[in-house]
Amino acid sequence: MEELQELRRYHDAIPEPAPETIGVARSRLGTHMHGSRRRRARRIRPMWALTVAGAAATVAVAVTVVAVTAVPDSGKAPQAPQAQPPTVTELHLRPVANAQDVADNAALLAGDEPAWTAEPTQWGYVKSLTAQTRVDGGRWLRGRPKVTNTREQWRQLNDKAFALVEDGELKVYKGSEFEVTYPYLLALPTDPAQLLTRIYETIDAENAEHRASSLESARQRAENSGRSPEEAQRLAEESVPPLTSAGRDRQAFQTIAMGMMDTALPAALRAAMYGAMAEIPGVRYEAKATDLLKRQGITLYHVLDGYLRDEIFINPKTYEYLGYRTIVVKDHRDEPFDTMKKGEIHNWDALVKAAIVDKAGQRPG
Amino acid sequence: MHDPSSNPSLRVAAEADDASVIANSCRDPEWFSVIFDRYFTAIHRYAAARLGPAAADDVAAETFLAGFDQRGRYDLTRPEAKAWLYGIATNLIGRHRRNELRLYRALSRSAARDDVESHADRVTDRVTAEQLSPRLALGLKSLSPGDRDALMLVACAGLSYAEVAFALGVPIGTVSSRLNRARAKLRTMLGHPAKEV
Repeated sequence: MEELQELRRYHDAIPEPAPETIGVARSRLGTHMHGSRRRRARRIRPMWALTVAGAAATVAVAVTVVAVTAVPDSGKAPQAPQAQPPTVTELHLRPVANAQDVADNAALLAGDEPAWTAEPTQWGYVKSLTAQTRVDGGRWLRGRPKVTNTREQWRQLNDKAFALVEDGELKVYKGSEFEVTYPYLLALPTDPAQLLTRIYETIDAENAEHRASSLESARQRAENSGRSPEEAQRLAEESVPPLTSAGRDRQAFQTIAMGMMDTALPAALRAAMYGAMAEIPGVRYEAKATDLLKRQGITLYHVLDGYLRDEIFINPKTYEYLGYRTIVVKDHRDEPFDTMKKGEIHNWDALVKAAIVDKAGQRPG
Repeated sequence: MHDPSSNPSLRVAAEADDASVIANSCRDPEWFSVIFDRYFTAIHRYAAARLGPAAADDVAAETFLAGFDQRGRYDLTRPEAKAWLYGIATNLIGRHRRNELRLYRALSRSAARDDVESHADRVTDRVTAEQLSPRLALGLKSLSPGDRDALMLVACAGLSYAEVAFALGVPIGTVSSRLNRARAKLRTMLGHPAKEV
């Protein structure tokens, strides 16, 4: 055994790596974790899913609202959108006072748009801007970012392929890596209440499946470490708590937001998505906001457990989707990571341009 | 200077085994830094024993990058990630075989130096080679790569035969025969009787 002992002594006497070495390795891992080029589809959304889910917002430029002016007109009685369909030339939008109004006005405008004619083999083009909110596990962004990254992306509407520009070259990939796909979105009902029901059904099904597989692997681990089957089951249940009602609402908000940030959508569908968001418990409206591109907008937001606010920005005139942000609104201990501090911005994306095009690599004129 | 309670991995250690942490990291990548905190120092030391400190910096860092990329395939029924990570590190070390042989060669020469060599060189080598006799270093150099992997995982990393088998992806019987062969060869070179093996 002498040679084994000697090897062991030799190994154990090797000094620990210097703190700088650990720091460099840690930061390489951090960059690697956050910078993976291809965003993998994941079945479960963490609270900051949107960072990883990628790309940014979208609006269908191909079906952009024209010849419509929003007239802020608080003196008149609000018009019921269903009762009085808008005309192309003149449209009075009622002043927005809450999230529901945002959705109603968006629906009103959408009623005026040309019919959606995109074919499944066409592509949704999105150009977006993402703020750098953190470098190598350092401090989170506060205020406006110094660094932003622009990205272009094409997704085929049948979800069979997507394309990115990498190192100046167009790369087309087969398959889909998106959590909320075009076929799923385009099949959603355009009635807000029905749309929301569908979203919750999707979330509940995914969570049930994920919970079952997590429970099974937790139970196996507990049994492998010598617990009785009953105890293993109990430990497994404890380690995989069921989704809370607030968590479920948050997932609904994020799912809808993810559906908007990465896609070119029919305006009527987008309006229904706003409407569904407005019906999610806890979703609120804020009238004054400035987005990543310093555009004036309004927001719909949801605050998770009093500390983490997710919001979408909306153009107050055209009701186009402008972008997305996650911001900490109250200090919060987030084990095993650092404490979240009020004012930290964890994600911030903006839509620059979006449209339906015929081919990957094609840009709207 | 260092407050242990501020270290996330220590706070988590009592609650979550490696498998749970890796499962979490599939949803929230950030969790993988807990694995880094738990194992980086050990993996670095193992790599340094085989490649020297400079190459160890790279190999140890790359072990966790590769681990992160492969985390989706981690067998969640294994609570401890130790053998898995040592397996990845061993794989990466294989790509640096020339470095490894160079290290052992340097170690094997350290006692044979005479006054012609500079004093500084001798001090440096002596510090590195303090615990490893030149003849053992030479012996390591002479082993086949597979035999050396098995030996170093048992002797340095302290893995069980079953863990080595998992780390290297070979049957447990292969581990045992590799070890026997490696030790027999070393004992011959060290001049110990080989019959015990």
